[in-house]
Amino acid sequence: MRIVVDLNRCQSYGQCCFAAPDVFHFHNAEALEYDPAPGEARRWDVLRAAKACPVQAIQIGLDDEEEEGLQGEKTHDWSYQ
Amino acid sequence: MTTTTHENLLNQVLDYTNRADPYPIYARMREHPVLVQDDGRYIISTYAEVRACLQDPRFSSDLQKGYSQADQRIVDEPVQVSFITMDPPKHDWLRHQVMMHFTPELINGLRPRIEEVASALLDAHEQRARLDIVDDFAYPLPVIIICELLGVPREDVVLFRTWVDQLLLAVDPGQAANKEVVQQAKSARAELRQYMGRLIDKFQQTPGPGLISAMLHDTTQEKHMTKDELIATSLLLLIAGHVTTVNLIANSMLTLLRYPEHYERLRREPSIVANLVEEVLRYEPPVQFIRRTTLTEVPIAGVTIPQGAPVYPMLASGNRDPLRFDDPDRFDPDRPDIEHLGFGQGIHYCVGAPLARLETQVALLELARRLQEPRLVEDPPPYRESAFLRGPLHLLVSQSVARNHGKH
Amino acid sequence: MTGHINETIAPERIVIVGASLAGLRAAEALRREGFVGQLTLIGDEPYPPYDRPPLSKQVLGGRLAIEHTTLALFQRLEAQWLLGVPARRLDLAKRRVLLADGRAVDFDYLLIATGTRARPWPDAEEAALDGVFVLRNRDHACQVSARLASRPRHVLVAGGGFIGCEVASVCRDLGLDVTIVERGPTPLGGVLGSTIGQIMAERQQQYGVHLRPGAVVTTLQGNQDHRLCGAQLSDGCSLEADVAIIALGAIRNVEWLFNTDLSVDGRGIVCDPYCRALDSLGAVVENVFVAGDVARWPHPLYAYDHQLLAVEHWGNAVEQAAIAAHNMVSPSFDYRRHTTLPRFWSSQFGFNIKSVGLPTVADEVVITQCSFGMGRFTAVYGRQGQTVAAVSFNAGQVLPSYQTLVEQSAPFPPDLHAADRPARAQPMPAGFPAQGHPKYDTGMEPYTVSQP
Repeated sequence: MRIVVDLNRCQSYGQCCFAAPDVFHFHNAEALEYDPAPGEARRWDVLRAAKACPVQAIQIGLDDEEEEGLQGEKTHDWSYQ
Repeated sequence: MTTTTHENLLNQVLDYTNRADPYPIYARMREHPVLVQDDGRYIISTYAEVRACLQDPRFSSDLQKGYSQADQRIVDEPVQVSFITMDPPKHDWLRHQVMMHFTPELINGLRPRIEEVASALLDAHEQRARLDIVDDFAYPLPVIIICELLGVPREDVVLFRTWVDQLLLAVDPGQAANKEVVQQAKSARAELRQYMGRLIDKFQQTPGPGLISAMLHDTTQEKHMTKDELIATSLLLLIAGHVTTVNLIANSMLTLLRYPEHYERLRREPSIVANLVEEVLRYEPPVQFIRRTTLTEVPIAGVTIPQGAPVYPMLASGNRDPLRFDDPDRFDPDRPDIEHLGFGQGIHYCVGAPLARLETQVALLELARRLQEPRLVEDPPPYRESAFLRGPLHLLVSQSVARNHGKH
Repeated sequence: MTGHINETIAPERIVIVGASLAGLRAAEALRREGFVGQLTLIGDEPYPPYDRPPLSKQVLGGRLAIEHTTLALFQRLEAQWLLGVPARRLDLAKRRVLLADGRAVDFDYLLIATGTRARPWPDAEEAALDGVFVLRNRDHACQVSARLASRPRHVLVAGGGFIGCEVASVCRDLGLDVTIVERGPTPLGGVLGSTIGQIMAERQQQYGVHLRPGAVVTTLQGNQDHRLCGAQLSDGCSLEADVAIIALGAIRNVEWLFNTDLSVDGRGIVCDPYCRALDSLGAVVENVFVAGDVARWPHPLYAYDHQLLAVEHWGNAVEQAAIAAHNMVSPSFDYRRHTTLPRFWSSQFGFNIKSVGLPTVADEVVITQCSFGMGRFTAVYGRQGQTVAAVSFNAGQVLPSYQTLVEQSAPFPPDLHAADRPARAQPMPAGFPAQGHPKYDTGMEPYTVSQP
């Protein structure tokens, strides 16, 4: 699973850090850092964290985005002049 | 917008006859986001305005900064208060002293113990046709846990339970004018402070388990709490750490009993418990409103609140605001927008929220696991006196004893 | 060329050039709004869209693996992805994007979301020295993170803007010796002003950063192995350095559009409040929309003297992309305006910095709440007596009420009487450099736009 936290919305209440401590933590006083790809084993912790967020800043992505076939080929090492 | 006496909506909420269902009164309040009552109190009842108020630095939690016409405060002497009625910067510092110890590791580490206690409490009642969810379960569980968390000896619960009830009675704005109640609360508070002071003295001599001793012996800080500050803080954690959770568990169970399809769903799908608890925090919050005062004149929603006014942000009303929540009076654990006010917002957001969630989730899972087809004996149940910390006094439930799935 | 969209024909082919945050969120918004036609995303990087803010924070510090930065998807896209190949030219008449590998991609509607790249060190030979890096994309982040993990002796950061300061903060987290060389009198002066910048300077020095304000790096020096070994500064000093991070700002990826009649230059592509691209005469270019870092548009709160707003904010990429996408598939009477308030955040030196509004247009700043002992304060910015922005430092929970002040252009200084207001809370000059400096120019050219 993949997640995104809107860090503009986040106000550092830290409820997510309690619900899913392996995924969310504060760096220093209140800068949220999180694992955007927490792994299936953490799914329920992450869902609880999303529910507990007082500003609903946590968004949970679709499953199986690999189906989108996003592995683009590196065709060349292009660079702008 | 002024109102005449018989339309004093806040007094109607405080009136015990409306305890079981204050929601129609909240709906009438919401016709005007900000209302002044004839006693000079201001109520804020709509979601947007409540939320704005909670995060606006012009609103103070330090009630000493306000005047009071209708309220008798029990704080007349210069007694050390806890950080819940303080403003920054002092508030921030004291809250930080607690949060340094109130960590995810500590709280999550309590889960096995909470499960154990919940199970043991229900073990004691599984052969009975009836139980009182409050007295037999929702009250003892958080009390036992908060005592263990803080390092308060469990046998002392019997000692401080009465003092806590007396103290809280005076905090309720409905009772605050009652001189007898106020006097009793003052002496209860003195007893509690003495009790906590002696406990702290013991920990000073011999460090013990729990948060109080940890805060006392914290050497990582340059500055330390004074003994009075530690007493006030510890009492806040002890009291707030159980009186509200009792109501969250009881309000949750009451709601599930009223909507048995959700109870059945919880039995089938335990993972829905987090959604359920958040929706109860919106639908039947254990803290229905709070209290603020203004540091300056504040224009809000067309009303100018004067400086020093008593202001009541009505959390439970904001939670039912149709301008914010679709079909707000519907109990719907699947609603995607669950940005409720049940734990407040802003710098005073409930410190104990993670613990309350954990305890309530474990409690509901255990109840759902053990009680098959429970039925409410009385609806509405008898309520506690308080309109502020609102919940059932007793929640009698009958269960079928013949097929029980408890542990032995 | 009246700018009218032909409302009776729904687009069948939409092409998005730029496959990062704005491009991805626009694609999702298109599908969410019901677009069922062919969707193509073109990106110059060979990776699926990924999140950039962590690159200068936890990725650099070794706390997050780079693969984890791939962005979550919120909508099934069923799109064609052409990754690892930049766009080379745009043929508006033929409605065709020409790629660097010679392929042509035709469109009915086009969204330009090509974003920015890091400004490189101007001297190519010096830039090629081993140990000289920029930090903008995944590959950079991996390289720099690996190099920092090898514990260089002296890190030089050229440029004290957000990226430079965040990099320096990570260096201090890792216990590395680091010097910031900044043109202005303080770090972050271009985004927060030098008054608040001075507070940041003191904070950085408390954290052990060597700060060289009022100077620029003039030369990077290499040894006989072509490894960086030092630098010369404009104040005559020289520094030892074995790693240099060039953090001198961003260049908009717009060169591929210079052959067109779009209103485009190094500052970005001009669009209207509906995200529609404008031509050099200010008329709407049919079927071409813009979103993200490359866009310049009139914001209702910040359009002083016809200035256009251009920001490099995560929040803007997300919001503008959604509005552009909505408008691309809606009749004009249903258009939404992009009026969202600019917001950004930064995490450095123990500060969680959050901003609402645009500090750079301010002439004054005042601290309204502070608890320096807790490392926490809030500053409000004003322009000619109106509130234009607020920035909080470890005080995110009070910011919503300041947001209201900014949205309302409330009188400045605000009358908050906060319990933790400083004893002497007088407004001070904000300390932004005089306008016209390319670093923070919001665009001074007047323009005209035809009404929809």
